[in-house]
Amino acid sequence: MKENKNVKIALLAVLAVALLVFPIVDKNTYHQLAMAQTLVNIIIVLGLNFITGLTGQMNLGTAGIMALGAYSGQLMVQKLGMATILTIPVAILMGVLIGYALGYPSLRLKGVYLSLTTIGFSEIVRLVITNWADFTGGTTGVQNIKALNLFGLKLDATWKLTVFLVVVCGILVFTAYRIVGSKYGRVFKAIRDNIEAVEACGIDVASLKIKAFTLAAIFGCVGGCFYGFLMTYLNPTQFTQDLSANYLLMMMFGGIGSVPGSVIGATAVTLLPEVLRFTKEYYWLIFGIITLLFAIFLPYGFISLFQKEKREEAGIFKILNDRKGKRKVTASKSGGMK
Amino acid sequence: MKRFAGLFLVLVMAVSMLAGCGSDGGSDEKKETTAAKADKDVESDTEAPKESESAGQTPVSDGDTITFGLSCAITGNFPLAGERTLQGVQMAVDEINAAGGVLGKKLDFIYEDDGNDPTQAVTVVTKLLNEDICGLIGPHTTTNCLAVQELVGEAKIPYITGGSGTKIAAANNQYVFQCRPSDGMNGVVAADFAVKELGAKKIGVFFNNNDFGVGGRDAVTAELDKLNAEYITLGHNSGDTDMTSQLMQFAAEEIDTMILWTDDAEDVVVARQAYELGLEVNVITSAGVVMEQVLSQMEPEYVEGWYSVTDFVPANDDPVVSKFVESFKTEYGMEPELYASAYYGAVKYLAAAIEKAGSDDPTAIRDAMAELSDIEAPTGVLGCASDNTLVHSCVVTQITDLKASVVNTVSAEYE
Amino acid sequence: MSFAMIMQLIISGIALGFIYSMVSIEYTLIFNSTGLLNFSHDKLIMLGAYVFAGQFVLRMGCGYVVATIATILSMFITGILIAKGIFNPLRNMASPIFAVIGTVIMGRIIKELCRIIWGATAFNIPGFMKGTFKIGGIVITRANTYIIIVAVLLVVALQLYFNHTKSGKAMRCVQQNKTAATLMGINVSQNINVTIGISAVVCSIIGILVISLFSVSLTMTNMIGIKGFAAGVIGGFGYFPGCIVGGVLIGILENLSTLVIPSIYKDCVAFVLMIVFLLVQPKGILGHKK
Repeated sequence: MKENKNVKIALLAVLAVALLVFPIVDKNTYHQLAMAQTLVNIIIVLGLNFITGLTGQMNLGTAGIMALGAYSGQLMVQKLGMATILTIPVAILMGVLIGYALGYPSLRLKGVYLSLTTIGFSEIVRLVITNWADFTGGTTGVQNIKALNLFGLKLDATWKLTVFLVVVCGILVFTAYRIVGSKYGRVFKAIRDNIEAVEACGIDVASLKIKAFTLAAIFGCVGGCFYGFLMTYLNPTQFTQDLSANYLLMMMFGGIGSVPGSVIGATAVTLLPEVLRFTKEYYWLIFGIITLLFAIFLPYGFISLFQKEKREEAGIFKILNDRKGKRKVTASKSGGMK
Repeated sequence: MKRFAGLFLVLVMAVSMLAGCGSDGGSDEKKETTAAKADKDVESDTEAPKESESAGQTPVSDGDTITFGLSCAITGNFPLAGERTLQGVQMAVDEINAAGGVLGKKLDFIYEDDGNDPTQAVTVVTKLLNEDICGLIGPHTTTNCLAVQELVGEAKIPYITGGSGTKIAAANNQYVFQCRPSDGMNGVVAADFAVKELGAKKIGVFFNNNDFGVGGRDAVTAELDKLNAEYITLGHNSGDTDMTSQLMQFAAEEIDTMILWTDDAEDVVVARQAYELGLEVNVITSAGVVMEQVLSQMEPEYVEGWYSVTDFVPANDDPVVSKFVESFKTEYGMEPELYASAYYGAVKYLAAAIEKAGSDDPTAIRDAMAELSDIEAPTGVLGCASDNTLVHSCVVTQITDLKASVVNTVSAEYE
Repeated sequence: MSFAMIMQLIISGIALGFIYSMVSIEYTLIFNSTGLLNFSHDKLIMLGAYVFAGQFVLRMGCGYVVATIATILSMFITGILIAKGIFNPLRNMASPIFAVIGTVIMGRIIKELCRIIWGATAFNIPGFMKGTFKIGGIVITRANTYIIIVAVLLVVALQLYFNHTKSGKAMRCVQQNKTAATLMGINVSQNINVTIGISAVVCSIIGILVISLFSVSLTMTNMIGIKGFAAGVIGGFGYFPGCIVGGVLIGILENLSTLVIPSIYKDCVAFVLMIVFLLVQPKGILGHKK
């Protein structure tokens, strides 16, 4: 058992080194950008996983959360001359604020209300950013975003930012992993699976849901903040409903409720369209069909291929098993006939 | 172990995807070594062409082709512009190659879809910049152009965009060229036309609240201020489907002329509702409305007598235009519109710059582009001004029975 | 502000409001039956418009009546296929997320298919439902009158169907308790298939009605899709008369809001109202308790 753990740590270290070295060695900026985008998406999906994956509450406002996370910091840098490094704490604060302000009203109620509130929230954020042109730049957006300055170390090239993102992402994956494994993570899951039982245990469900949502908002805002540094340009047209849906898709593709699943999903859904670009005008359709097949036949995502109990709960394996079961039944019946 | 297998898979997938050689979902130890090998191969593979590029100034076009990059919106919320762009570019490239290519080499292009989305535009442009290209055409809109202009400047690749916003010139990037008349110019022409030709007393400026519309509004109102004309401004959001309230406000203010600066879909809604609500005023609109695909969505009476300040209409006696319209019709069986014509001209301009530079070195091409003048194109005579705009004339057209005809051609002075 | 102007704003608002109402009816059908929100509903409306205008009227040259019937039939089949492919396999999962994501992907695929089959060019049917009436200086378009009439007929028809026919009652039974319904001998899956088929039919009717207002394009339904959700919440979630009230209220307030706030903030009204209602009166105006 212990040996197993050592192997694990060794392999993780190899992985970490490989990821760190990749952007430094591969000078193709397209590869670096794709990798950095993947890392940003991983951060956001990790957050979404708390509220939607673990607690089971639909959050469709990821785009709005990201937009606020990105804009709040960058506007303070541009208007107040704040140091770029401070955008990260600002994003975290913003996340806490969104989490409570939006979670409190919508999570006291059961049902679909969070998804509706978050849709409304996201649209309002987009419309306000678009129309409050004097302050946010409107549709001209925020231009000339300065490189992130880490106490004198300027991350002014994509590869530098990518290396930094690998480190941040590593820390956040670890954090998410610990939270999922902690008492909170287990209660979050319990809320999704059987809310009555959780209530019966005397646990304040609403406050826990708000905690989960706040975590999602913090991760989303931090992701949005890095997104700004990566794109060096912010524009409200980027933050649409389609973007929010894309993050849900990432979460499902990898495996809902699981940290490795979120990582795999974000990676696959970010990179798959890029890989499929060679099919030219059909790539988006092909991408859609692939993801639909995943949704129907492997609803617990890629990760469920390695989790026997999950994968047999639904999707293709269930169908196959049911077939097998039926065949067995008919076989035994015909046996009985003899 | 299983959890770890997931993490490991991520690595395998990431590597194999980046290599573009398709992913294999193996998870056992044996495959690890092959994957690691593949990893190394990938790195060495990508390193080689990369170095020549980052050392950069002399990309070697392999064989006898000179390649440029094209980014346009095939999917997303503005797919039509991309389709027409592609047609215009393809036709220009075919014509150039039929006439012997550039510098004795074949002209070729690589295109990618940017979905009219800034994030995707950045990705796609980065991808194209890592290919062996001597120039870049598109992404189209002002928003996307602003998103990628810094990247292009850093890579030192000349970039021609069809975005017409005034903010592009304001970014002052010497590698960015605009192949459509700037809104600054069109707006001034529209305002002048309203006041001087139509004798407008009170003007309603109705703008789309995006970069394009706001840029147009600013240009129009600045000129109206100069002319001491009375005006009011109202906005709508992109994608609005009901303009009743704004049009009613215009009616209540008793305007006699409306200057409408908006995109294709909103043009249609405004035209219909203005007609239905009986707002009988002179209307001067931005470029899009004269396009076949916009006019075909309307009834003739909606836009009867409307004026439009635009870069291109097919019904033009100019020999360059009629020749272009003829060949476009035989090629694709439809009339060209302004995206096709603008990007057709952009390719012609790029080719001329390559000829002038005498090499496919991007910096030399950029310098050549900045010096060129008198290139004939469907959108007028192209030449580079100090703010890197290429088009310096626009036409005022009037629509009768869903056909736009030229009323007036306006040319601006440039050095 | 003249009286005529305010009346005009209200009338236009009502017309647009009825579109929101119908959108909200269409997804409420599915929500009541399965407890799931259909996030591809705006794409289904768009598909309806494309099938009617692009396929039957312009390509095949059918008359409007024939084309409408053909569209309704083909959309009913599409709806049943979507139910069989996505809703039924995914509705019993631990969380509604799975089905919702399935519908989101479905929407994307529909949009791409429309682009590939019918092209990216926006188009319109010349002369279809064009024209206006004038009553005392107030303009009402023909399309808007059709929308109002059809919406009212639709609600009446659906209420009659649910309250007075056997299959309608079975659907209500499924809404309330799926296990009990199964025990009563109702085939729940089949029942859901038909419900989603009906919802797709409502989508196609909306699609046909808005052609003359929005033109047929890939982005025609972006806003009404989301505002339909707001209409449902404001009127009372999961309740047909609530849909009508919510939709019309949004339509009117949206238009009247331009008298006091800049018109570019008009679109915020629906969402702000929705959030306020969720805070203060989550049951909606009609306070219907399901």
